[in-house]
Amino acid sequence: MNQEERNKDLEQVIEKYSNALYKICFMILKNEQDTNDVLQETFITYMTKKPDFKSEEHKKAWLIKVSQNKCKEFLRFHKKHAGVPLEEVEERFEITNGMNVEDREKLRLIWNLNYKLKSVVILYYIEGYSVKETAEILRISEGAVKKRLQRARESLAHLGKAFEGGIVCEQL
Amino acid sequence: MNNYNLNKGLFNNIEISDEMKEELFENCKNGKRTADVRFKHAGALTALLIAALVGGTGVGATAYYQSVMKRMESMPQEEVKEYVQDINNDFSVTISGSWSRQLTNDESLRLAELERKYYGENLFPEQEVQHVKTLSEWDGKSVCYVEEDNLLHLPDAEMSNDQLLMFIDYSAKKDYVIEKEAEKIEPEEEVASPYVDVEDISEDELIERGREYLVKFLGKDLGNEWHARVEAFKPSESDPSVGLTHDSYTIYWEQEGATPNSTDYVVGFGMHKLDFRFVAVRGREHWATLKSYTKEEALKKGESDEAKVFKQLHEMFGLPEEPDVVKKVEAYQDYSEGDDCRQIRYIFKYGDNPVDILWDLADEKLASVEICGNMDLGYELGDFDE
Repeated sequence: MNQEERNKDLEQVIEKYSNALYKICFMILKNEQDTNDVLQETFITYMTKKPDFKSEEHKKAWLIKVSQNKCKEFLRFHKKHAGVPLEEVEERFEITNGMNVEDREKLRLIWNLNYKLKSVVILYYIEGYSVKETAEILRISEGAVKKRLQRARESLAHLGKAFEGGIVCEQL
Repeated sequence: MNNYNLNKGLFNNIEISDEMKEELFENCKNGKRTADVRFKHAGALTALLIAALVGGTGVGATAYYQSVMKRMESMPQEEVKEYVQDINNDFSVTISGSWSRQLTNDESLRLAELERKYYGENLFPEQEVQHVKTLSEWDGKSVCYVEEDNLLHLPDAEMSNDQLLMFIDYSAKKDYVIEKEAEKIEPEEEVASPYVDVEDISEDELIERGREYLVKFLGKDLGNEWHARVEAFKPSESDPSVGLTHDSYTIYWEQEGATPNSTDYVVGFGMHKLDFRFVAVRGREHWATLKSYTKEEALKKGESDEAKVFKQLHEMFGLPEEPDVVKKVEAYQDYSEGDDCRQIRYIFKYGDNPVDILWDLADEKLASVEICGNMDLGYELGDFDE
């Protein structure tokens, strides 16, 4: 692949997957600047490593995996920007526009979960990955995923008591 | 698929902007790495290694290094377990996100100073950070890890030097345990380290080349107290089409006893053409010396300072008198949150080349300049063109 083809490929990959990665990383990092940095590092890794993918699903999972590694590394060693409260983000990015009260509350609860719980909730419940796939993406054991999902359910149920019905989670 | 009432619809309104997509493409295409300038943070082990490498006193520095290592390695198993437990349960995996409050300016400056003594002179605290189960057990005056909320609680009043030393010791040990734990994780696949030896040019020549840019940036030479070291980053695995843009040399200038929070300077070059990439001053210590503005004040001043930024870029780096486009002006918050803004980030475009700037508002000085793409700077520095 020459430079021109490589750039074309990069442009297509960014067009196709940057939105999905942005949603996940923005929820994790709670900050636009950091999200941008992590996405940049992720696509640079894509450009420089560029493994062979079996399918588009494989490519997407690989990109999520790299971005989650970057998020983790970033949060642990490099983070400079504080997470922004959801209220501030709501105003600026209108991320809860058109949502009913219940969904807005759910988003707020997920927003405020800590990284370890939030990452499994997003991948398992929102992105629909299985426990095994979630474990592979986050490079943790399946047992750890189940344990974190359990803690997340407890946490969401506890925090969600404030509105009618709480948050009901399907048991594994 | 899970039959569950949390669904993708919750994230519908979270969308990347077209502008950000375009910026991502431009940056990645041009090989701009965030890691070299804004990402990098040395953990405890790296700090120790740097301390040993740049320690001017030779044998003395090595002895201090060994002594800190010994302190880490001789932690009782119970203490290590406690740190592992803290790390697993921490409210946040961010460094500052797991503290109960932000450090004050004065604390940040004393932290950098005391960290030098901790790593460089083995000034250790007499006591350890206290661990309690519930918030009600904390007296509000000590540095204390509370299991109930998994936060390291800092006293409301400014920390004394003794407390800061305890805080440094706790952070260093925690970093050490994190790095040791990370070593235990089996990598799924073997990934070769992207860090390689310096080739085709000597380290001394690279440092001299970098020094010329640093002198332009600072308006002075740093002098002999600052020690330079070189990192060669080569992720492209000999693929020349990528190597031309992504492989880079980074030169760091650190003072004797450099620690994760001290000020340092960096200059970066592309590995193949030795083209200039970036120059920056970094670190919490530097940040703590800057005056704080509210976000509104910072943005207002940022806009009114634009002409001064153009002038400095023109005079220092030979860029045209004005950029073609001002793509972004935003408050940049290193180590702070809310209405505590000290720097402005600009992205300008000169022709097709994005130039990313950090500007210290009160000092009206450039804090970082990162040039992407192949820009003709209009002058020659050194004699290294290939």
